[in-house]
Amino acid sequence: MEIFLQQLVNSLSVASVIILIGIGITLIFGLTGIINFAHGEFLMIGGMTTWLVVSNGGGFIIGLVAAVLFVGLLGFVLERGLFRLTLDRPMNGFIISLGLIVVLQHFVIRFWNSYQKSIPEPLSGVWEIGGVQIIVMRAVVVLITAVVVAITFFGISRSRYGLALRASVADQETASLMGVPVRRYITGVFIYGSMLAGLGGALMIALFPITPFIGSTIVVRGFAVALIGGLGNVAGAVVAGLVLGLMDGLSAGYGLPEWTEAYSFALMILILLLRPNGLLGGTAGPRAV
Amino acid sequence: MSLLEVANVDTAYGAVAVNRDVSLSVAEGEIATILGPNGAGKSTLMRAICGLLKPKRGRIMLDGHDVTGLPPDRLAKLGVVMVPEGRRIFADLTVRENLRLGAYSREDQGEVEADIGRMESYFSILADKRSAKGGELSGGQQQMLAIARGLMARPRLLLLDEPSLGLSPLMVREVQSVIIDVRKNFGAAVLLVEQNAGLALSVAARGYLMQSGKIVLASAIADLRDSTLMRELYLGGGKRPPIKSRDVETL
Amino acid sequence: MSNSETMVDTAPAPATPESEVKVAAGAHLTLVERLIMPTILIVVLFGLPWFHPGYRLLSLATSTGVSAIALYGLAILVGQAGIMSVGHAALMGVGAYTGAILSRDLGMNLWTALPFAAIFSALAAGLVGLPSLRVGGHHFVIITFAFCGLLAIVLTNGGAFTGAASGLDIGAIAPLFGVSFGKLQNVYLLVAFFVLASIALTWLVMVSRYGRTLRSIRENEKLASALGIDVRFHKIVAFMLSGAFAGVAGILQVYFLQHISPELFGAFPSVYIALMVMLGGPRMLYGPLAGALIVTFLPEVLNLDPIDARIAYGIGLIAVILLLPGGVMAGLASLYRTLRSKVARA
Repeated sequence: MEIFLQQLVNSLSVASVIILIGIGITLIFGLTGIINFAHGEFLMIGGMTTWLVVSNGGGFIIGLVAAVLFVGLLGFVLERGLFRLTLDRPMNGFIISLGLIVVLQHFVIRFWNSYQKSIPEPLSGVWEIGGVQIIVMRAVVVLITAVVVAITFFGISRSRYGLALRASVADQETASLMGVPVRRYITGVFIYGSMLAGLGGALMIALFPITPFIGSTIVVRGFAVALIGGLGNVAGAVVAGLVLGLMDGLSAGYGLPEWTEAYSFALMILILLLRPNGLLGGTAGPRAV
Repeated sequence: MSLLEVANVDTAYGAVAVNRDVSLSVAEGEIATILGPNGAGKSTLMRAICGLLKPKRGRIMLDGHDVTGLPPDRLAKLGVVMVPEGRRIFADLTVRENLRLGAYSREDQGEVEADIGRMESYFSILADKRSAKGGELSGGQQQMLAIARGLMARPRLLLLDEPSLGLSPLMVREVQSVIIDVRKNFGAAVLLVEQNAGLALSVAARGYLMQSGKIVLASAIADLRDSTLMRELYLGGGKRPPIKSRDVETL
Repeated sequence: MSNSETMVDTAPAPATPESEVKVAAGAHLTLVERLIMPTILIVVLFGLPWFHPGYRLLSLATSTGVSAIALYGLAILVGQAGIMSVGHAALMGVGAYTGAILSRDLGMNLWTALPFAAIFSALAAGLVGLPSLRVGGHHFVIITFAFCGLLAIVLTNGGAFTGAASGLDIGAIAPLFGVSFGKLQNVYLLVAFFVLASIALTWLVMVSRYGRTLRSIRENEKLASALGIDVRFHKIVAFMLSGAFAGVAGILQVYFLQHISPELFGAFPSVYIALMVMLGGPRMLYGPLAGALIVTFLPEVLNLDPIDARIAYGIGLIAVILLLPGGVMAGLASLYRTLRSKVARA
């Protein structure tokens, strides 16, 4: 039982990172229809930024903040300079994102190297609660993610901006008729999603070492989460992220670890075939009207 | 000076020309209508006026200021609000949220709650269904919501694109009285595009007849109704449009 | 979702699909001009060994050829039918592993295994294509990516049957009609032959009625359906055709390298293949070949180290997509047309 609970907490920390990526993707993909496969690289760069700061003597928190800000900036620059040009033909945005993956990954490899990077545990220690050993850092990751998710969720469901965003995801044209400056929301969502990815990267490197190639494995999870949960549906992304994260974590502990990735792939394909709009419903895409 | 002035506007979708040399105007607080059969280019013109389509030629002026080519969100802030064809209600947002969104462009966000209350008392259905999702309403109810949503922006000019489309005769009469009230209670001018000649002729003061993308007749409503051109082109010759006097509120 | 909303904007200068094909087929060119490209192609393709290229160059050329064969299959899917897929490497993998396993377990050689490789890949492609009938283009692209990942995992975990992570080895190509394939030169010529065949087959598809049908699906699926075209059937057939090309490329690759392993056919190679076809131009007859050539030889020509090469490649791709949406070949064709009309006027 204790082992199960431990695995549960471990899986939750994995799920946390996936959720952060998934929220960014569901908002960006849901609003613009652009499949930015380079989103995973944003996470990688976030982690690398944190590593850079920490290995040069900075504290983890500074590294985390740096990651969030830098990747947010990166997202802004790429949206303005690149993706904005593909809003009329989102498929071109996808192809460009593939090129971006190559550029970003190899940039990092060129200036550092392709080996693993890691940082010392920012918070060491283990909590003992009723016989269950919980690694403090993992719990903190889950906590931080929970706070961010709560902020995002309430922001979207309660605030005026969240309302405008939800309307834009559903029907861009009509939202603009109401006075919503949709282009600005697109930029905003790109920045926010990138910041979340940067945060995810910082949290990830706090838990395990990362290589310049982790982006690619993470990004498919992120899209699986967004599609399963329903595009533009933040709550859906959270639920889907929990499911996938739990599957990942538990299969690593109990099932066949080599097939871990296959589960999320298979689940995603299955759900897309049965319920193309996701489990909890979402937009079919910006052109659905 | 008119509130809205459209001067020599050409529109096109890609290489396909739709409107040619269209000129019209709407005065402050006036109800004007554009009539014409299906495919005449009325909706395309509306899209140009509300900013969804950039005219290939010509100018659109609001209060004497050139607003040609401005995007819809800018125009909404300037007081030009479109109630689109087919309602385009946000199906997954509640009725209240739809209304609140209508007020997005307003500077005085503090007044929005009060206005929602006003809408709910004017359109009783909105009060009843305030927490229902937009998609759960019937066609007629959605039309009321769409108009209310447009009014939430406190527009100076309300653009109505085919509000009677798909509605039962009973609902059409309701739409008719709402349009007349828009001028009385909400002080907005209205530009109404309609295929339903009876509705349009019963609420508007002036009208334009459009055919194949061009304005072929522009006059006061009474003259429009009596014109032979109108009868031949639009109504298929013969009788006057069937408006029963008891359905019409005196203007 | 209809294909036209998700199709990649690769339209070259002529606006309508039919004029596009006529231009590709060279309708506006004189007979002599129309023969230039095929002539150069045949001369360079088959004449290469006689120019005494080094081993390295010949090897690269062979590798380019193998990629090009697969790319032509993808071009039929992406360029003609308008369906984007990043799962093509997986289909090559099916062909390659079919060849390797048939050789190991049933003693079959390249010649006897080739049809099986093509067929199995075609079947796998049909399977991958099934979800595209239900799901829109954007979602479908992600599914193709997932399929690739799945295949790589299946291959890695296949134990002794698939050779697991270390992969499988294979012997050399058996002699045919007395021609031995021990020397790289002959392997190269064999691949060159298949490249030519791919180009010819693609050309046939483009100018035939079948191609017209595919393009009408690409432009406006609803309209095509309303006109009585069985969209679902044709989509699956397009997939299977593209799969067959990939299968042939795959089995040629395994016999060329004499070794294969799962990571050659995973998600990333698939992405590179999609990039190659987009770079060259999926709707142009020589687009796929151009894409393969550029990607393989540009780093050599510019003498870049592999990492810088990749960066340049990525940046180049982004630039091409933004500036020349039809791919490099579309840009060149457009340039040629402009020069030609300038000369004609002078």
